Amino acid sequence: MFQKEVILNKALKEKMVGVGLRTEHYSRLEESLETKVDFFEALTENHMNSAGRPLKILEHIRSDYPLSFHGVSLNIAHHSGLNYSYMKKVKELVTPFEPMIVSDHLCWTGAPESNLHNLLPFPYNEETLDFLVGRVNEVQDFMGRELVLENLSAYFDYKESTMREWEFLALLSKRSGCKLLFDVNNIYVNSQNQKFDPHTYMDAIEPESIAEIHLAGFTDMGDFLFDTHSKPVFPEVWELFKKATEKAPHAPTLIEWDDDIPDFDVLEGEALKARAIISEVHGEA
Amino acid sequence: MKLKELQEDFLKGILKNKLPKSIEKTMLPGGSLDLEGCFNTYRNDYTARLSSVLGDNFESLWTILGDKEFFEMTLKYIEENPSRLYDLGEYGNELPSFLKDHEIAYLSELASMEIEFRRLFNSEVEEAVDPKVFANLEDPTSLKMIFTKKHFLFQSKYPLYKIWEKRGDNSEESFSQIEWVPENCLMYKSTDTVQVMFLTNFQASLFLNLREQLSLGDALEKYPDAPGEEVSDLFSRMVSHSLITTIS
Repeated sequence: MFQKEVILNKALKEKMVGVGLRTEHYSRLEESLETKVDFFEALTENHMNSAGRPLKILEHIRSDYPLSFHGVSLNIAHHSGLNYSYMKKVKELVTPFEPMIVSDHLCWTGAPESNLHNLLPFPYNEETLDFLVGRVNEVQDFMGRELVLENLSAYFDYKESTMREWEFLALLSKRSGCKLLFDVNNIYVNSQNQKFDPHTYMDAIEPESIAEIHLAGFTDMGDFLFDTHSKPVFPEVWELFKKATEKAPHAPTLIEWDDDIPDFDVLEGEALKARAIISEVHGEA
Repeated sequence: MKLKELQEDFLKGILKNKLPKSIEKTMLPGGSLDLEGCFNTYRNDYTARLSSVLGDNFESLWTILGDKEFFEMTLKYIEENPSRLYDLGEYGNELPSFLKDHEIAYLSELASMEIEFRRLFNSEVEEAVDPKVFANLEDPTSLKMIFTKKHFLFQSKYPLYKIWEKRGDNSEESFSQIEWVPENCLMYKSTDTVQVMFLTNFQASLFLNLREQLSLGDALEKYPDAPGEEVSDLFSRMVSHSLITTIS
């Protein structure tokens, strides 16, 4: 069995920092599990259909670290019904690992007959809010655990939106009981693309609704900021992170890096920067 | 515009590479993007993501075709085969039939090899019969064997595995070293890794008969001139490489 007791104590004593588990680092971690991070986050879909190395690496890591799972295919905001066979697979995969968090995105990703494999926005209004509250409850009932949903980067909004993204998120969390994965990079990217003050966004979210914080790097495309997860965290995002960790000291922080993935040491270095900021904000030596 | 209509129109637009009028009317682009630019951000991301997955999943095809031809091929494939999957690791499973008429005759078979390799890589190792059991058999000819399901036998006119092995290596030298002869390549999962065993034509044929659960004796009756050395070589490799999971 996993050392759950130790892990819970660790979570209580420290503000955890973790990194996303990526294939590029499997060999490094198979060789040695000695790292300076507190937890790893696995991309759910990368491990769902494998009894081979992708599953073994989770077992290996879980022997020393807590795990969280982060999915991209729940498709919770699509108008058609939820995909129960997908959710069943997620449940079967994650349950043995006793994950601290199981999350996905507040978005739609395509239709059952054609998955666009992208995190797509939808209009923020009363109609979609009612719809999503029902959906969240359905997922939580089936999974038997709290759902954590991430705010996404979007490169457009809809004329049908009657409220801002942060208002929608706050109401959704309040009415459904779901928790939020607070992606600070996405907040910054959206604030620049959609021209709003990121602090207004952050102020609107109740601290207790934040279950986790994500950090990543974007790419400046000239005419917009693109959420590529291919660079180190930008200084502007580190600044916002100070506010996020001050607001939600209980929430673990994760560094995501999905493209042009560097050596593990570089990723670990970003996690250590996050830890240093957490210590600074909370006045720890 | 209702959510259903909006999502259906957006999706159709991405798949057909055309910004629908209905979406044009509702979309408020971010940054300094115009409507087309904003829509293309999503359209390009869709094709780039699937092309990149095909590149990862079919690296040997990419090596053979080169960048230009490979990505032209992936665009056509993506257009004809929208993803129905949530696990992109399985995207491209229709490539062997998509490539069956390609001028490079072995390309379709090579795509199958990539798929089977991935299937084996992701599979669990089955428990094999202990080699010591075979040492004590009184009459091996009556033996019927069940093989691990985690195997695939490629019988090709082309040296498929040797081509596949060169994936990622674009040097002409590398390919000039390949001897273009037919190949019987048995790919199987053992001790956590995918392994390969080459068989002679006779061994491949015998293996297929044994896989149909003919006893060793009955299978050998089909080959009056069976080369004894090849029989014992095949048998000893099947035992030592943990390919046999049940015997009767």
